[in-house]
Amino acid sequence: MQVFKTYFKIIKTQIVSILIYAGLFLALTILFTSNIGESNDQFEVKKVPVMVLNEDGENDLIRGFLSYLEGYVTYVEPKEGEAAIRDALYYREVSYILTIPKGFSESFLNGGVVNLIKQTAPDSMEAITIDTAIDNYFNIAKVYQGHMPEASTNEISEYVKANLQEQTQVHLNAEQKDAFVSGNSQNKFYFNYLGYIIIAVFIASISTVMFSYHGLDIRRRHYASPITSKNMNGQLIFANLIFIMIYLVMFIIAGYVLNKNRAININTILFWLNAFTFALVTLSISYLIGISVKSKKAISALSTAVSLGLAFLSGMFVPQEYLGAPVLKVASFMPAYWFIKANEEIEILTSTSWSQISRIASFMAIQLGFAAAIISIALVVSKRKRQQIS
Amino acid sequence: MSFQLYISRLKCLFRNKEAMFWCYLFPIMLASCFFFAFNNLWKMEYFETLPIAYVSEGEEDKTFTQVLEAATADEGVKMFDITYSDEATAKQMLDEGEIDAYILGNTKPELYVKASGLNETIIKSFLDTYRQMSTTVTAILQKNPNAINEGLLEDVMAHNTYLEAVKNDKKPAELLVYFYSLLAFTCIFAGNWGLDEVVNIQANLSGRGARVSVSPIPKMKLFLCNILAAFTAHMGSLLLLFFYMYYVIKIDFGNNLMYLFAVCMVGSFAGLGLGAFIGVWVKKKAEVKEAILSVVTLGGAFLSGMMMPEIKYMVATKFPVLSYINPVNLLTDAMYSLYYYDNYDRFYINILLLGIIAFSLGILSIVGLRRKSYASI
Repeated sequence: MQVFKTYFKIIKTQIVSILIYAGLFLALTILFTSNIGESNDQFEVKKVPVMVLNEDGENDLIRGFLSYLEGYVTYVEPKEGEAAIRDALYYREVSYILTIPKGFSESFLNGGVVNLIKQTAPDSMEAITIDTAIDNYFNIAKVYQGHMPEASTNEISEYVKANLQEQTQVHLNAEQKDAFVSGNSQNKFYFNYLGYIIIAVFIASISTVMFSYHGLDIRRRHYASPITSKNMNGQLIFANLIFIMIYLVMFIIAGYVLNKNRAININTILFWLNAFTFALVTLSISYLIGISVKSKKAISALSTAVSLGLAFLSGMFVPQEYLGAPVLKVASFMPAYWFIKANEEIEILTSTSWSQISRIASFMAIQLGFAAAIISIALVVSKRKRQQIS
Repeated sequence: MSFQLYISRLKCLFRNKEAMFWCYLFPIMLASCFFFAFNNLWKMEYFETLPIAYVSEGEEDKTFTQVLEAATADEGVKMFDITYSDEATAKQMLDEGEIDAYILGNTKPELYVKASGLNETIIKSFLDTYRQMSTTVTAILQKNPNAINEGLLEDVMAHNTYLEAVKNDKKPAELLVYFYSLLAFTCIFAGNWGLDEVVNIQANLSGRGARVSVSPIPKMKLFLCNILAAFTAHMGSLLLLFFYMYYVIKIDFGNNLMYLFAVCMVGSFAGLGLGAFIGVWVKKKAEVKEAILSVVTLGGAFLSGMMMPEIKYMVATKFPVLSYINPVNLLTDAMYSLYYYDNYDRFYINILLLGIIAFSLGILSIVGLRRKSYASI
């Protein structure tokens, strides 16, 4: 078992990068999942910190409007001076600044064109809710004003407020199945990201070992040794499988422990199976890289490039539903795409009927197909290299 | 002669495949990844029709269901995909995740959801708007029954906007933040090149260093030529990245292109200075120096909020000094300030500080490099 032992000796030289990836991944998982899993009892509309700069003075229209808007936002004390206002936005004290310009109320009541002015942080996703809330108020006020010309501003404000207080009652349908759903969604999140870690770590470590075994001199030495080529390859394959199994089992256990809604059911087992399938694909990629590169430095470059490329394009970081159709078309030529697709199907699987599971199985089969194709290419490369020796 | 030295060093650098990959190819690859992965994220046309169910209690409210069926999102995508069913089925569908929510009732519809998320908020605000509009119509008709002939319904359906963004020339550009970080990181990556220059010229660090030490070229002259070559080659990578972002994936940097490029020049110089400084003053093996440089740059990137935006604001409010001496933070801050602020005060402060840091690092490196000679090595 010399080859087998040497394999793990070489893996040891890569232990730092393996541990860094693993540690970062677990830290991020803990960070992100501390928010998931806690189910709220109440349906809540998220309130956004907003700073209102009123240059138009107090009047009924604005007073009515601001008290309405309070249902959607929390007000932050207005700051003095342009720089301080910008700073508040810059340092995310507020994510929305609303300026009511001078003459707005008058213009509004007389059909003028003075508009409110908004300023948002570039990465604020909530801004759109506030936009809608503001427009709703003034649209309804406009209708009242147009069709009840005799009503005073004050009255209109009262009407609009009363109207807009009409809220839909929301019932949160919390049943015991909740745990099942959030457990699955956390698993999906976890295993999708694990895909990236698997690629990065396997290429960095397995390719390094394979590279070490495929140096010209080393191979010549091997052929002169009493161990047959078959024996050596057998040991290498065995060592590879043991390595990916250890690594996967570690993460499967970690993922299981970190999941607040942990349960062993058909979904969980399918997640594990899918991760194993993907590990096999990655193993074949790493093998191909390991025997074809010319320097160790190229391996670290490829490990970063391939892992990030696959992760971004096939939906590990950004869910597939958000990716554009052309990107997905291209991604479907990559095994990682099918890994993620299978995970997404597993998340929503509710029964053990074959009709549902067969789709997932077909996605795994496609991944295995990729693995077979990559291994065939690797065998061709390997054959070429063998011919080089003599 | 100096020009000859400069050219041969440039050739040397361009033949270093690894450095070429990390500086020329890798940023472009990441830029493409950002572009492909995030580009659709903020566009409404990718709104997906929400599956819901409608359960009528008794008589079905035709007006309401018509409104539900007719509702469209911005680009003509239907808002809802409605299943009509009884309550038990709807409940089961909700449990199984086939629908996002179901609506119960007629004039005052109630919403049943499974969790509070974005889709649920969209459905709720849609229902709110419907209810508010119908209340408005009822209230007006009570006072002014003739309103219906005066175009009340059209007015209710009309949706005007009373908001405008503060600056028309700067559209919200969520994606920009990522590209700014990428530019900043590419600049700081020059650190590896600076380190390499020092290793290549110090007799105790590399064979080539020992060789050039016995050559008749004054060391400072050679060092400056080499650094200049590294700066040229690195600026080449930035130019290529700019070209790619601007012409190929068409990132809109607004009017700030020239300013951005100026930041990158100073940033690249600061990166080289940082690398050279560590190369000169850390008296350890080359691997250790590389590791320290990585830790410094990655740590700087972390503190400037590249991994988690909150960190940047925490540092800026709790340890302001740290944010003024961290070159990565100065770089990103200079870039963000172009977006957030109308005037260039903040930008110039950042650039000035960055320039001072780059200059001091350069001077300190030269001081460390000077007057080192070996009788035998």
